[in-house]
Amino acid sequence: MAAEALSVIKVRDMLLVTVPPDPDDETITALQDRVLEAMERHAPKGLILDITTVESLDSFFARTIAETTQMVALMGGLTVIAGMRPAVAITTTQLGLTLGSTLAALDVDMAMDLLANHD
Amino acid sequence: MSKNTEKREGKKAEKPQSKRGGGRATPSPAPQAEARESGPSQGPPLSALFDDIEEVVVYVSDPETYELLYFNDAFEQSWGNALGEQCYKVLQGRDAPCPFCSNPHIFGENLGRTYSWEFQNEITRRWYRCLDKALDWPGGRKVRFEMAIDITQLKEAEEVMRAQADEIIELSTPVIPIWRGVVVAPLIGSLDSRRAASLAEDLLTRVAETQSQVVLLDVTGLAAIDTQVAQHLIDTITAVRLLGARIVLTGMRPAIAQTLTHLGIDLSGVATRSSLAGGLQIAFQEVGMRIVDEKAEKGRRA
Repeated sequence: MAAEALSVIKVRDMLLVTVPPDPDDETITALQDRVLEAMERHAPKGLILDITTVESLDSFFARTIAETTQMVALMGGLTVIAGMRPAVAITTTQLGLTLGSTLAALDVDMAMDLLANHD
Repeated sequence: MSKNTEKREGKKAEKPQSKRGGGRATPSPAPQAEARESGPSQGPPLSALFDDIEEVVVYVSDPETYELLYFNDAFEQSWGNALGEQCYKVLQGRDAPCPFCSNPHIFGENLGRTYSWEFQNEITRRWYRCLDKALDWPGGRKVRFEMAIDITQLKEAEEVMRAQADEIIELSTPVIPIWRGVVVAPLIGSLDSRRAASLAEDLLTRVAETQSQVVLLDVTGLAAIDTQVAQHLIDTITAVRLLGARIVLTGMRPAIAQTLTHLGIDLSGVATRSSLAGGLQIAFQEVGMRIVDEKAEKGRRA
């Protein structure tokens, strides 16, 4: 997966990032860089990480999400992950991985609601 | 005439209506003639040992040519008289040796070992527990000896038990949508790790399916709670959170509240209520609805 193919879209006052199905460590690192760049450029209210297609979540990915949430918070934004699959949620819990203070929503729609209603 | 054949003919005389021994008693081409005269090189002949045992299928075959060299009456009843034919053809209806043939387990470096396996025959559709071993055969060769016990009834009973166990698991963790965005999952009985796993799976799948923001996990019917059960609950709550939904534990009976506190389990990050009604109120708040007591409102206005 080429890092250039990542989409970080600004929608209204939010950033929407669609995470590819099976991201490698390089892609995940690139994703963080791209997100922080976009945070600086647009100063949005929050970030939505759409992980609907993601089939597995490893410790590196989990840690990067948690860290990105912290970084985005430092830059004044909220992070919401959207659409985690049930199987992924179960494995993540079984592995004892945590996503720090990242918020979660069932889908992108609800993630947008969550960000809109958050002050 | 060999001893074997004499015995067969004797049997035939006693019970003329029986089809027993029919094919095997008649003189036939070379391999079969050899078979009739053979048996393990030491001890009593196989036919004396196994012919009358109805519950156990016994046969002997050549590991090189797969020819059947001996079988008992129980074998003949299921697969017919097939002396000299290939075992894979007769027993499995195949054109070539079975891919699962157990010969490698009893010949070569495993020579002398008894190999035990379970298996469902494609022709009779019955389950057998098979014991295989290499035997010495006249002429100095080693042959494959198999003894198969019919365990179909046992297998069927096992199947029924497994189905019932699965059914109990399914019945005991229903996930019921009660409002748009709200599901209720009443826990009943005990929560072991197997049930906890199925609960988490069902619950998360249903939450994703129904796009529910709130799950009311009712523990009224939970028989007992200990650290392990509590850990299962916490894991489920964490997983549901990752999905983007929220769990409210309802039906916190005094006994459960006491045990949780005594065990030192921290549920401070989880909304808990003593009644399902209390949980429902939280749920409605979460999805932006309100319950109005119309009677009381009217009374106040009057």
